[in-house]
Amino acid sequence: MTAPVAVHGVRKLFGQVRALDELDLELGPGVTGLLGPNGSGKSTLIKLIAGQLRPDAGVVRLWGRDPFTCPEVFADLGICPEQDRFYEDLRGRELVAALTRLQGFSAADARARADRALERVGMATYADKRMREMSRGMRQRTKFAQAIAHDPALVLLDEPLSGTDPIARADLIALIRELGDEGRCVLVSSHVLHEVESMTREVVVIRHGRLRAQGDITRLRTLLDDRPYRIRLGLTPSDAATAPEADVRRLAAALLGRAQIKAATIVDASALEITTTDLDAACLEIPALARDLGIALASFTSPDADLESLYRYLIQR
Amino acid sequence: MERRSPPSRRALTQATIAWAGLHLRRTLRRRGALLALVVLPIAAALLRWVADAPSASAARILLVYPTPLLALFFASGALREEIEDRTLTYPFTRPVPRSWLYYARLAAHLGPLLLAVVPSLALVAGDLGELVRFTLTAAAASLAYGAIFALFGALSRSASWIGLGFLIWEHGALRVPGFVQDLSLLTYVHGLAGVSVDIGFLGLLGADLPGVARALAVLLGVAVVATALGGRLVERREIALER
Repeated sequence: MTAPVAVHGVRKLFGQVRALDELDLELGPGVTGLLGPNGSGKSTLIKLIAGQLRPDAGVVRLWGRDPFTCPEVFADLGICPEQDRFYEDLRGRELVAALTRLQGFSAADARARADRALERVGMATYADKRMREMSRGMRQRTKFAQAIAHDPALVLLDEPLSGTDPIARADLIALIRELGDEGRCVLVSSHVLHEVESMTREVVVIRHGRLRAQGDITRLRTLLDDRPYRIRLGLTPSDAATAPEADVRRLAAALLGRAQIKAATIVDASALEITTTDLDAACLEIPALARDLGIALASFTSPDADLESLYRYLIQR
Repeated sequence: MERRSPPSRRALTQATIAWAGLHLRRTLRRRGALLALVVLPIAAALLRWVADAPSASAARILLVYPTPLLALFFASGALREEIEDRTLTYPFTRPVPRSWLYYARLAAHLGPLLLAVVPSLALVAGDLGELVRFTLTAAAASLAYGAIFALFGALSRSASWIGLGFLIWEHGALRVPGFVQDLSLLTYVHGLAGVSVDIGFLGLLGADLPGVARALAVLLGVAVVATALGGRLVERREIALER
């Protein structure tokens, strides 16, 4: 089956600047986070996929067709562009209905779909405000509504949460996850890492217009075996007679005997940080070892297994 | 997830007409449009009845000055406005061909122009024959100038300046008898309206003006070609990139 989005060998130049360079990417159903620092080429990639730009080299295909020359593919595309620009004199409902009408729906159908989409993004109450009268968050929700009102199979969201308050942000994150769960292909560009992490485990990282990584966050992290994981262990004293630092020392000594443990650092009287090259094995062995030693673990966290650390690593590499 | 089947051509045509209607309503709500709709007919009435200008003179003034200027004011923004406002992404990511959207915007911007110019010219007509000729000329001139200025708007962010330069050329060429005069649209406007060209202290020039059929064919031809060129340009250029 043809992938909803296929980008092969794409290069895009703006004068002397290479915005994208030899980029290869395929996106399937579900939510994918598009990550990269400012100027990395995220918005250019979204514009290419949305047929707003034409690549200088390579091909962009939506279900096998060129979006720049085949507007028919837009029947299945919804886009929430980065810019906070609208037809300011229109009311929210009017705007969403008019843009949905352009998808080829009848006037009545477009209005009904617009109402449903506005309801879905929590804008039903404010939809009769003019765009210029809306707060940034309301505008963002309305922009989101026009992207999903026609039930597209592919949704491109360029910084969809910018300017939203925490409640709106939580609502939109839930909605994005829902869209992914419905089987749509959703590409979300953002530089707020924890937000992307709360939407999906699947990411694409680009830098200087080049693809740095694509895939599941955990799987990507395991592929980076030249950089070990840190694991922080919090201990609770096993009994009143033993000093807590003694437990920490005992556990550190026992762990250093294992092949995959590269280092163990005592952080304080009840915390130990170890470095391992095999996170999965460590997750299984450390709790068992602590139990054998009669040591109770209060916490087990890996600061390197999250998206932020992966992102930092990929961007600085 | 199931993909939607692409909308029919008929549905997209209706959607494009609705889009043009929406923008026509938006354009008509603007102060500039309202002003043109009120001021131009009043100016026409004053010329005809207060200044007691002959119908041909009044028609010449209205056709030569406000009509091209209003065409520049309304039509140059047809697409340029969306480019500057960066709203083009919304319509251009719909299954409607981009050229159709350009035509829709052009129609929406020509609407107020026609509504201002055609009744004003009708007001200065002295008889039924003049009424038909003047309104036909007003419509043809509006379409030709509108299409040209909209094309300038699609081509360049300096559409207004280019348009003003074009109008200066138009007036200059009109006053040079011979083949240069044939290069000015105003020549055909005069020919279609049946009015002489006023060349200031040299008097009126009317003997070599084109006939009605040729004048109408040129004006409508220019309108069609400029509109088609604009549509083709919009289909092929990365317009959304500009700021």
